[in-house]
Amino acid sequence: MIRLENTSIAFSGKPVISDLSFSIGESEHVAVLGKNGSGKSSLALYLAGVIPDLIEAQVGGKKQVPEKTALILQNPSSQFFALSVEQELGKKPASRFEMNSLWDKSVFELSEGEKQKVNLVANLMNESFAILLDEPLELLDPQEANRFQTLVEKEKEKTVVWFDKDERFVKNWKKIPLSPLSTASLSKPRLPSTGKTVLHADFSVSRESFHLNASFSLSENEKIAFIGKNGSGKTTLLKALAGIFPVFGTFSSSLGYAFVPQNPGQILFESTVEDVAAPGRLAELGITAFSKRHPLLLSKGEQKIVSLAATPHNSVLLLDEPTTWLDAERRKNVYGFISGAFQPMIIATHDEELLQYCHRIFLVENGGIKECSASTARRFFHPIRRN
Amino acid sequence: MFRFNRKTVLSPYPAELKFALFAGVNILAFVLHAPWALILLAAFGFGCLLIIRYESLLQLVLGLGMFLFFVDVWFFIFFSDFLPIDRFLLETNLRMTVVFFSAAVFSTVTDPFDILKLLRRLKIPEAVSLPVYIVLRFLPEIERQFEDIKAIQRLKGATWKNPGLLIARHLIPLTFVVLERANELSIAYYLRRKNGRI
Repeated sequence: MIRLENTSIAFSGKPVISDLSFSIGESEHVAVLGKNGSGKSSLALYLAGVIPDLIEAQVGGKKQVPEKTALILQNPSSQFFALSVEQELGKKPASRFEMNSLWDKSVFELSEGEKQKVNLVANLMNESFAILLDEPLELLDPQEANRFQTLVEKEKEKTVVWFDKDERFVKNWKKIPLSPLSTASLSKPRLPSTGKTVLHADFSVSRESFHLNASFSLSENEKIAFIGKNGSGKTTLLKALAGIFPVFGTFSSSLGYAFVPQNPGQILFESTVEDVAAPGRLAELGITAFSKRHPLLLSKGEQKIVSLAATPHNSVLLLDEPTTWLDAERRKNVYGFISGAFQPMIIATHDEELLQYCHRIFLVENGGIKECSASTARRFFHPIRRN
Repeated sequence: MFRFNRKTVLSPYPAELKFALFAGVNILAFVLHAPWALILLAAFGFGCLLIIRYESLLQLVLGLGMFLFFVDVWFFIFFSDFLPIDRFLLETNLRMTVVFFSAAVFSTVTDPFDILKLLRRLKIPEAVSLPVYIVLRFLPEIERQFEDIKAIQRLKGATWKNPGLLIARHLIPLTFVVLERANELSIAYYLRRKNGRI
């Protein structure tokens, strides 16, 4: 049983949760939904005891939670302390968790989804009475997200609380809204590509035991998307174009490149958002409201959208998962930016909705890239479509 | 620079042996004063790096060079009045070279989890052993993040024309990324302790 009565949480006097009350019964599966900055993670940390034991905050109200409450965080890597699955779990898990194929693997061989699965199984084996999930699928590809989701839903005897930005993954769950959820719709149409080639690439890139061949061209104003499983090489491809990894072969462009990494913290340096942003970008992305704020003091979702605003106009944009950590309203802003910008973009993504704003889609698999139709892409994403 | 590569010729040996060798070389480096002995130890470390086919030798040597430069300048400014500076700098530089080379060899051929187990067997308190383990475990990931930051700043046109700004452009995002990861790790560690998983 989890019960909160008139709960409030504040950091340095600034409230993030005010007067919140709810009750979750034993073995119940409940989704707590809220926009970026609505206090989901703070609430999850409070329920798990991290706030105020480890992170200082002013809390009020009454809390009742099981003694052993596990919390799965967004980033699977940070929770994986050992270097192998065997070391991490300590003993072999029950067969229902289907861990045999992962048992002998080292952390460097595991995909993000597999690491997240090991985190979940480790907590389930430890007989935690309640499981809290803080946006656990944020960094996972559709197939892995689906497998994780199925594993969670099979745990009928556990109390599970799933914190997320929207109901994509928890459509059939009982819901507790922390903030009104967005119903914003996109009005900007996709701009047509001009057909004039600005980039021609034909190269291969190798990283340790991984090898990827890529051959494609990009037209002026064209947006192309790369989809594929975690570890298939989407990010490697973007990093090769950005000059982070050496390549064999050539790629040439009449424009420069701008790389926006998945983790926005890597790109933010200036002291205000308006210093970070290229001219006109704040308005394009609908974030003029926090132009005077310090980028490193923003929430992860807000930082993400600011990192997109930092991109220059005359360049090929290399966007690595541009909609990760964004709530529905901010995702719409990014879709509008992608479809309306007069510049070419290469986008690595797990976001199915984003594909409709791209001119072409490439599937990255088996060490190569292959242009695919919208229906093939739909089949790739199909496992996360649930009614 | 930090690769936990288990496929080197030195990797299969027990962690105790590797740790004893690492500790022995470093103790010798701080006990001995004769330059020829320190040069011999540094050459031994360099030989080990060649034997294990250390991938980032150039980066290691450049990093060591920069570190020694700053150490030398610092010593020269603050200690040159009351130390035999030539002799002192020679010894310090050679000692640091031995430490760098031996640390690179040790971190490459040893699984950090084995180090943790070894420190536990040696009854080293968890307050010391766990942070050591976590630093070793996550160094390669931090290094990868730094590679990204370098490339991003290069694409943004950061140059050596203004070295102070260039260093800040690298250090501020890196510090942020490291603090973010440290925050996540401390939360994950707290939860493990609370739920009896450590």
